[in-house]
Amino acid sequence: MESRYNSAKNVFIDSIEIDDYIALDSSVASYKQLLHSIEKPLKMILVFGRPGTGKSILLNYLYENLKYQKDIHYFATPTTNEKEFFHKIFKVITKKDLPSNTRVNFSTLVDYCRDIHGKREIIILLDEAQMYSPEMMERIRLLSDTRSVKFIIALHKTDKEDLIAEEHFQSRIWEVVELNNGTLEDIKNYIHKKLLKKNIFEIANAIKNNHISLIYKFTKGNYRETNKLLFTVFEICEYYDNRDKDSKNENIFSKKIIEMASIKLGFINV
Amino acid sequence: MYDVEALEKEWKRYRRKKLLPWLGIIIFTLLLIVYISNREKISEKIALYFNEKNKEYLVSKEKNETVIKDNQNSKNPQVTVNLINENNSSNSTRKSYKPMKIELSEDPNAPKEHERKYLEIIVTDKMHINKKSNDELETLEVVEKRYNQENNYEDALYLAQGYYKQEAYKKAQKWALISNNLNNSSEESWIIFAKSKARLGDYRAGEKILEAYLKENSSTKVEKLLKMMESGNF
Repeated sequence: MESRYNSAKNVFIDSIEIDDYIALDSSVASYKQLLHSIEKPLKMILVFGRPGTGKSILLNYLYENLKYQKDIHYFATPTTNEKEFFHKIFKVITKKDLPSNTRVNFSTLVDYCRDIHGKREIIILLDEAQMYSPEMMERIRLLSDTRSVKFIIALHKTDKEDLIAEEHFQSRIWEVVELNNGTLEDIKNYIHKKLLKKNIFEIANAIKNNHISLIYKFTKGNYRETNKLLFTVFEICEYYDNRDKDSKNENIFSKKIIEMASIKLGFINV
Repeated sequence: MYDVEALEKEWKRYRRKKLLPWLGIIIFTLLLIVYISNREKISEKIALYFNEKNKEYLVSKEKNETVIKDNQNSKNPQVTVNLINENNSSNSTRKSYKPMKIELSEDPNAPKEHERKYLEIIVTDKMHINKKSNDELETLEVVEKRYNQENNYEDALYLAQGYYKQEAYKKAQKWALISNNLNNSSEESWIIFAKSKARLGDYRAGEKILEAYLKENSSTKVEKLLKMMESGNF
């Protein structure tokens, strides 16, 4: 028989699936800001934040919601090979495939984009944009200057990425959507909503405010870290649940388990 | 799946480490409470401990000094104990006794090489009496009243022993003298008198009293006490 903690564990597998999107006050505000920015005649929009603040899932959520309404395309995995990247861009813009042994003539592509200005408005969502080389970013800028292609770029907020943002987009990005770590209340809602979404009521009720405070202390409100921690917590709970089969009704979730998971993940240095 | 049992052991280690400062605070607080509630007793014990230390130090110092001075001058000691027979028969209610008086005298002209410079730590009787239980003090008071009426040797000796036990050495000394006056063969009165002298810091006088007693009498108890005083173990 499968442990009751197994399904709880799987809830916290880190993913950007739309099913896993949790509408928190802060994330809803960011989403609305992004929607509003798309409607503006902007060339580039920067989604900016520390790793694990929900940039990828926000882009995916936006894509899933608008994919039948707008000419929107989501590049989840960065393509560091320039030739391959522009093959993908070419396909999105011209809706035609190029033979793999050919190379995109960039100036022709830019001319094509100028030609379609006013007829089409293409939105390209670029995740993990810090992975693209400065040359590729410069070409992205040139394409956005045609005003036919609007780029929404998700960037990690580190010193290095700050520099990229400054160098390439300072004069062109008209809107920045900044994502931050969640507050204590956000994390509480996030955990509960995630469990309740999968109908795991008993475990959701067992997670009290003192547990949330402890989780928040270790993860500092970072959603990815919270997922990692809770996945490990439920993995440990699952172990005890399987070991002590006689005490099925006993609640295993406790501060002890959270601390054990934190030791395992290095949040606590013993 | 990783080793959860090993992880649990690591967690226990972490908890112990986390509790350590709290444990320290609790122990400190408890000690503080114990100290505050027993401040007087603890202060007294500390004072007694240091008194003993001082005495030991002075005795050992004295020994060293004596050795050096003995090399220089081997004259007789200047502190003498005189046993004076005093004919108090007219005042005494018990005519059968021949009361003796223990008197310490020093020769002011004698060389000073044997003079000891004791750090005299005097604890007043009043101070000590205040610290003792009322029951013991009441008993002593009752016996003292009875003595005033009956002039009984046993009562006087009991008072000497009682006050010595209460660390009221001056009173113990006084009652040892009184009991000795009533019964000059009382070894116990000599012992209490000598011990009280020593407790008041005058070890040399204590030793001389015991030596004087041993000249006239033979007692292993007194010999043992004398040895203890001489070796600095009293």
